[in-house]
Amino acid sequence: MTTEKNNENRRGKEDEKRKRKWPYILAILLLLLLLLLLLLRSCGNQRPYPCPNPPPSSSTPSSSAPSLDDTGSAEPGNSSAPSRQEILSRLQKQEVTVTDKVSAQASFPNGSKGTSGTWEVENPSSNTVIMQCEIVLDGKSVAQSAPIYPGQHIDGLTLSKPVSSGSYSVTATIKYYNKTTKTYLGMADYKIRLSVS
Amino acid sequence: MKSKLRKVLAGIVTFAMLCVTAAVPAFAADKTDTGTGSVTGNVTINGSISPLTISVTHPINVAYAISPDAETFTAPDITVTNNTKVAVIATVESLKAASGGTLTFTDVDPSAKAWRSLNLADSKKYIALGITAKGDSGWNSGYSTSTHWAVNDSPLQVGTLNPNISGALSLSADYGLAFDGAYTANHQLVFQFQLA
Repeated sequence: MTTEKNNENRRGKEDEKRKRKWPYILAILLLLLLLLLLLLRSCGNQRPYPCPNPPPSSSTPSSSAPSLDDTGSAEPGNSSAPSRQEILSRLQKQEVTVTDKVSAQASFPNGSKGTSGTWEVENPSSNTVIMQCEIVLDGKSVAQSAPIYPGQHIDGLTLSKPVSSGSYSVTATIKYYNKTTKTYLGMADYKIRLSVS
Repeated sequence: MKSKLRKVLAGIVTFAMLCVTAAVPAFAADKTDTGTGSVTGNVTINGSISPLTISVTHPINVAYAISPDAETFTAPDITVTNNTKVAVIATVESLKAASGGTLTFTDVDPSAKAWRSLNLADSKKYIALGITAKGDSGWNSGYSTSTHWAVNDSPLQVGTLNPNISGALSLSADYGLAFDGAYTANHQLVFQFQLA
């Protein structure tokens, strides 16, 4: 009789023990589930092992195998560089050519600053640039013309510095400017004679 | 009637007098040489000569292209035409790297670099650009066959062109190949022309 009671008591205690363990088991299971979820989420940024379910492809790099975006089409055959003739043709279109008409002598009745003299320069209408001329004596500009647009010319210019009487070999510089933007394009020099009476 | 006739005669006489008076200055420079036997008369002839117009057609900018993959330098010929009535001398006064492009090169001597070994930075920095007169292109005999390299400051007298004749020049270059994009670069070429 006492042994039966003892057995009953033992069973009851074991049942109680089992009942007490269940919450712990559930908590551990929950923790494991949580860990698994965290692991899955971190798969996008780490590559230690393959992810069971890869996230959809995006612009950010992923460990998944890239999939081909099979839209659009490329040109058939090898890529071909432009031919020498095509390059030459493109370069020739960029070239600006001018025709200058410059009198070989500029003459002034005296060498005082402000004296008007004669010198003819023409900017033919076939040109596409603005010209501006100056006479340079010993590295210094002694006279500068007004801007000469295509189809225009000058007959003379004024001394901006005093020049002693005499005959000099000087440089007439023509500077060229873009007709629309007025930006500097280039220049050319002419050796002419400067005569000051 | 008589008075009318007198008036008409007076008018004719006055007109004749005026004509003679007006005609006198026109003969003022005339000189009468007199003498016996042979008479010598000196006549001065005054000439008035206008300066000649120098006219030349030439490019004011020069474009070139470098294709690193093909290792080619392409530039059109530079043509200079003499429209003057007489021959003109053409001189390359300067050829210099200029700003305005996406690259501004530094001109160096062609022997200054191992061109095919230049790295990215040096390819975008250095170039050896030269200009030479093309033979059989209109230059009179005696034209310069030497190349004017942009690194040199001294002008190069190219040669003489007869009236209505065109002469050509060509560009050549040594350059690197390491370019990481499409670039543009400018050089300024200045000619000088004078009567021969």
